[in-house]
Formats: sequence, structure tokens, C-alpha cells
Amino acid sequence: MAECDTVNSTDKNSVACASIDKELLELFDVLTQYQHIRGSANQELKQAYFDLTLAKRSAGYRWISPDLYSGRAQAIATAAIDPRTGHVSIVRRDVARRRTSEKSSQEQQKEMGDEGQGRSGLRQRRERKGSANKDKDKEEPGEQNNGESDEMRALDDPLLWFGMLVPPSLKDAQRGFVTSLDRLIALGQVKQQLLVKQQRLQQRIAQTQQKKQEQGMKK
Amino acid sequence: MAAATHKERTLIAAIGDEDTVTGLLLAGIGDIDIHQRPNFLVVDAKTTQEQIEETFTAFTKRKDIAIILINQHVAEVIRGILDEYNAAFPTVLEIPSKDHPYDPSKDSVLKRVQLLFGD
Repeated sequence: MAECDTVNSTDKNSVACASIDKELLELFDVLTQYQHIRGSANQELKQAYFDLTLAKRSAGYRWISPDLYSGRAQAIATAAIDPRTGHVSIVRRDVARRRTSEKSSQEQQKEMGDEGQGRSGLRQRRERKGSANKDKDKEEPGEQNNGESDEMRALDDPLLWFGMLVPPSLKDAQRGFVTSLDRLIALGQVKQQLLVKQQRLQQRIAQTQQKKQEQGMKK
Repeated sequence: MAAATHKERTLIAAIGDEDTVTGLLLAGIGDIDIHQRPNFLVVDAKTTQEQIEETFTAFTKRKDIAIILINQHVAEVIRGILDEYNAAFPTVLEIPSKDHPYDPSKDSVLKRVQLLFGD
């Protein structure tokens, strides 16, 4: 910096200048990192927007719209801040299309039930009685499960807001936005570092300037 | 004390155009709390500057939001408020949209670094 270019600088001044240089180099390193992550995040977002546009084109522009957002949405992707270091990481709750799995298990049960109706005989009836009792047993805690199933529905994959059979491009778009979000979280982290380093450097420069002024006053 | 408050900050909020918000909601950031307050705002031609400012200010005051993602072209509309905002959390990040690619000259982080060197 300009303050460090003085020929008649004292030892203390040169030490201060060296520390400013060090801080400056660190700032440049973080800045390079910021620009690198920014570039890759932008690239990912660009592809994700393209996939989303493809999905809208194939499924209809009204079909993928804000009107379809769930009114009971709960965040699946959240940020976790480390209280000690202030490091931000992303936390994802596993929701892997629960409604689909619930439905498929219900369908399986229904199919089994249909097969059972086709058969007749004492053996089958006994099984049915047994299964009926089991069903009764299941029904009792089932009332308690209602709340749980509500919660599970709220934690559904957001893809399901747009229907059961979504175009592959929408799935690609989702994948792209998930990756972009990871990059953006990393970018936020680097931004914090950059601002901290910038503030520190500003303070150092101000301190060095002040010392230099004081030395000038003494002379 | 600050650590405890940071622990509660878990949500990622979004202010942007329809495509950006849809994409980020697909990624799973969408949340509507018990007071029916969403953590996202879709900005369209009808959205006024006051609405964007109010939403941004509300997001910055909320204790459960860690990061605010905002489209760069939307950020330009409320640049004054954004420049004044200096808090560490929620962190504000400007992102490009489909129709408005990223412009480094408008990036608030790069602007601050440029100011440091007197550019």
C-alpha cells in the first residue's frame, strides 16, 4: 500500500506493512476462491434454468407455476451454523417420495386383497379372520398415526407438488438446483470470510495511517 | 448468546422471479411457518418496490433465517437497503436469474473489495 512505500520507514512501520501485505494476499486468495465458486454456481444455475424451461415447455407453462406450491411446505434443505466457527453447512432431510412409497404399499395390499377375494375355502377364511384381527390391532394405533402421516405428507418431495408423473427434465432441474444450492451455501461461507478479511485489512490500514500521522506530528 | 441465536437460524429464504423461486423450492428450501409466513417471495411485474423492501426487511428481522438468496436484478431495485445491510446473519447472496445473467460489476461483495482499493 501507499503507506508502505515510504523510504524512511522505521522497523515498526515495516512490520506493519508486512502484516498488511500478508492480509492483502489472504484477501486475494479468498477473492479468487469466491470468484471460482461463483462461476461454478452460475454454471449450475444456468443448466438448471434450462432444464426447468424444458420441463415447462413439455408439460405446459401453467402446469409448473407458483399456484401449485404446497401451502404446508416444510423446509427439507436447511442451513446449519456452527456456533463456534460460524461455518455454514447444508442439512437435508430424507423425504424420498414417501407418498409414492405409501401409495405403492397400499396398492400392494389392495392387490393381495383382490387375490384373496377370488379364493374361497375354510383355510382362506381363517386367514381372513386372522388378518381382520390384525387389521383391528392396526387400526387402534392408526388413529395416532394420522398426525404422523400428515407430517410425512408435509415433508413430501417438492416434485410431487407438480403431479405424480413429472417430466424427466423437471427432475434434472431439481438435481441442478440442489447442486446449485450446495455451491451457493459454500459461496455464502466464502463471502463471510471475505468480508471479515476486508474489515481486518481496513483496520490495519487505518492503524498504519494513524501511526504515520503521529510520527509526522512528532517530527 | 450470539451462538445460541445462530443455532436457530436454519432456513434459506428466497426473493426472485418465478423460475428462481420454483427451482429453489424444488431444491427443498420452501417453508411456511405456523403464522403462515412463507420464506420466499415471487417477484413479477406487479410486485412493487415497497413489497420487495418489506419482505427483505422482514426476512432480515426473522430469527430463523440463515441465508437470503435474492436475484441480482431484484437486488438492484432495493440497492439502497442492501448496501446499508451489514449484519453477518442472515447472509445475503445475489444470484443470477434466467433472464438476467450475473453481472460482476453489480456484485455487492466485489464492489466492497473495489472500494477498499479506492477504485
